[in-house]
Amino acid sequence: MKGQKNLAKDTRKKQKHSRRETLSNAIMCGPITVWTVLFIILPVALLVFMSFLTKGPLGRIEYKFTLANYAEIFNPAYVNVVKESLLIAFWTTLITVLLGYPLAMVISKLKKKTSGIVTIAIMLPLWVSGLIITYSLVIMLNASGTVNTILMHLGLIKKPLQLLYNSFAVIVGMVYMFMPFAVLPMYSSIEKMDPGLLEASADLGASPAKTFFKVQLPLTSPGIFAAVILTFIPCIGYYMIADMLGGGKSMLIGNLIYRQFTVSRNWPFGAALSVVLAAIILIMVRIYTKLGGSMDDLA
Amino acid sequence: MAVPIVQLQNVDKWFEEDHIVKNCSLDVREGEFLTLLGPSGCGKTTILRMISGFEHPTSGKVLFNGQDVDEKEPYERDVNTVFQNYALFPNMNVFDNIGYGLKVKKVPKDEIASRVNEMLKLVHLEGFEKRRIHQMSGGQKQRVAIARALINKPKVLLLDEPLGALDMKLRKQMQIDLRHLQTQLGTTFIFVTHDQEEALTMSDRIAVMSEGVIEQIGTPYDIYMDPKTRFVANFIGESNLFEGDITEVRSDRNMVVQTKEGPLLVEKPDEMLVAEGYSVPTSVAALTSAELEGEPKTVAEHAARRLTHMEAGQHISICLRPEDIKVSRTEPEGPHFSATAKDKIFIGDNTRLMATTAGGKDIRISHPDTENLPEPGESFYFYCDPKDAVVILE
Repeated sequence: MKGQKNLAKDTRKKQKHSRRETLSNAIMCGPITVWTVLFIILPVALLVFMSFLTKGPLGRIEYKFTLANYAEIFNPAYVNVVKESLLIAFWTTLITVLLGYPLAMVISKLKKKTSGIVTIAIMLPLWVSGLIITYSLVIMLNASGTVNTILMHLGLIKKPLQLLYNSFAVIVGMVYMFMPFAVLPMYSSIEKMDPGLLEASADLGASPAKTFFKVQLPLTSPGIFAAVILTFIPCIGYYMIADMLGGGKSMLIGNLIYRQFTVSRNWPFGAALSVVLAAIILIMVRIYTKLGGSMDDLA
Repeated sequence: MAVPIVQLQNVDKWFEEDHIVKNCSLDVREGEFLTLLGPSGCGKTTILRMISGFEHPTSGKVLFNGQDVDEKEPYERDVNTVFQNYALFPNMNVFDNIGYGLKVKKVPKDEIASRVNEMLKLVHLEGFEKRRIHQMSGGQKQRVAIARALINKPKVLLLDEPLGALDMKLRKQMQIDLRHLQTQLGTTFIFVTHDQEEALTMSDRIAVMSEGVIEQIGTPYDIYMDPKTRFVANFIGESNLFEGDITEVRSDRNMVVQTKEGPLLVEKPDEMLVAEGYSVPTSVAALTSAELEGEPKTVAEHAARRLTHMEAGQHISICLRPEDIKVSRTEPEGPHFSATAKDKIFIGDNTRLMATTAGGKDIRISHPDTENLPEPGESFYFYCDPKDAVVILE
């Protein structure tokens, strides 16, 4: 009997304790919750809501339910835009990972002090406005730009190459822009790997190439997955580079959405496109976690 | 004499400003269990890594069967390593870990399967094929690491403190198992440890290292019974060291050594005794006076050379093992020291007596006869049989 009484007392104490905990949690999480609801959840809900509304004359919105905005996406012209976006994102990701992985490997082999400096150098583009980066690439790639001048001086070409305003320029810009996002997760996974495992592989008779493909690559694959996700996803939606380096010739989903909200003033269609883009991204992340990737590696 | 399977010739290794291995020479005989023993940071692992090819000597040579292997990459060398932290591949199961060495050599699948099974049997891990590495205990991981290294049938197996992470009981069991495995397979083992008891239990020969120098190479018995340097005497087992000057070399081969504590009678080590110190037949082993003319390889050899010219007036150290000290409550006839007992500890098969000599030196005595040992606070006399005292010249 006495034991039961004590037990009841304990439970009451626990309840009191947990109530106090709830209160302090609420105080600490309150501001960010309000923020999230106001600036993320509400706008997204609004966007989804708007994607089912009808476009009125002169960019007005009529509160009439329709699926026409979604049907419009299947217009071949727009399907092509989605395809083109995915293709450019694919090539950008491939090139970024192929260039970024060896770079990450080199950094991981540097001494702590040097690797810190190199890491900062790689992060630098992240701290510079994307606009400035894009303009500097225009200067590099235009007909009388740095690249063409050097190539002509070397006598490799007679006439300047058309480097700007095509998919090539867009991919160059994207690779430049997203390289830091790819290098950092790959670097962290290479860094985390026990170098003793590479020695063990060599010790057992594996050539450097075999050691790379059988031990290093499988063990650093979470970093590669993360790099793929962190490059591919922003790449699909990033419209500024395509706009300025693609010269309006390559239209990506991002550009299309941007136009709906500005030039075309077709907000419901823009909203529908945004929802589709978000869906593509969610599917990508789902595939990533299915393949064993951790959300922590993306942060 | 057969060509040693692994040889180090005057090997030096510098890491930037640090001189890690200092002019080390070592011959490893085919089929022996050789242990590199020394405190951490003495260069023993570096020597192992120079044999496996992960480090290159700054100067000097590493030879396999008389061939210089400096040009050979680790994956081209006929040695395998059991690493300190096992270094098992976490992305593979037990079977794939053990079979890795064969797989990279493109051995047919069914042969890999049969040889992996053979290895699993050898290390008593049948039925664990599909286990992931993180599901294995420390001892099991250890066995996988050994099987993985042995499946390549290496001529030489290098073991870098492989038992360091195991608990005491498992460690003792693995020591015996490893020794059995080595005898069974006849593979040459080069084993690195800082645990002197482990070295004594397992080895055919021990190379004792200190600060990048091989102090002495010999059988466990020789190393324990006849340490040639103060470091070896202190590091292997317990010892009581006394310094003093030789005052008289008698015709019966005994010498009187005057220490701070008083005179002590010790036997003069002669050339015979020096040769016995290297009873294992290696190039170091049969130390004839002719061979002594050559370049000395270890500190012990330097010392051995000087031992043969011993005369009055020389300054030497004497090592007395705790179990070699004789205790008496009444004053003995011959040369002796006096001391006061401090602590008396019964540890089962032996009793340990801690005492302070008249000169203020702490000594340790080990004796099976508890009854006759003095009680704490009691004064007593101690001495030793002249032949039990080990003379160290440095």
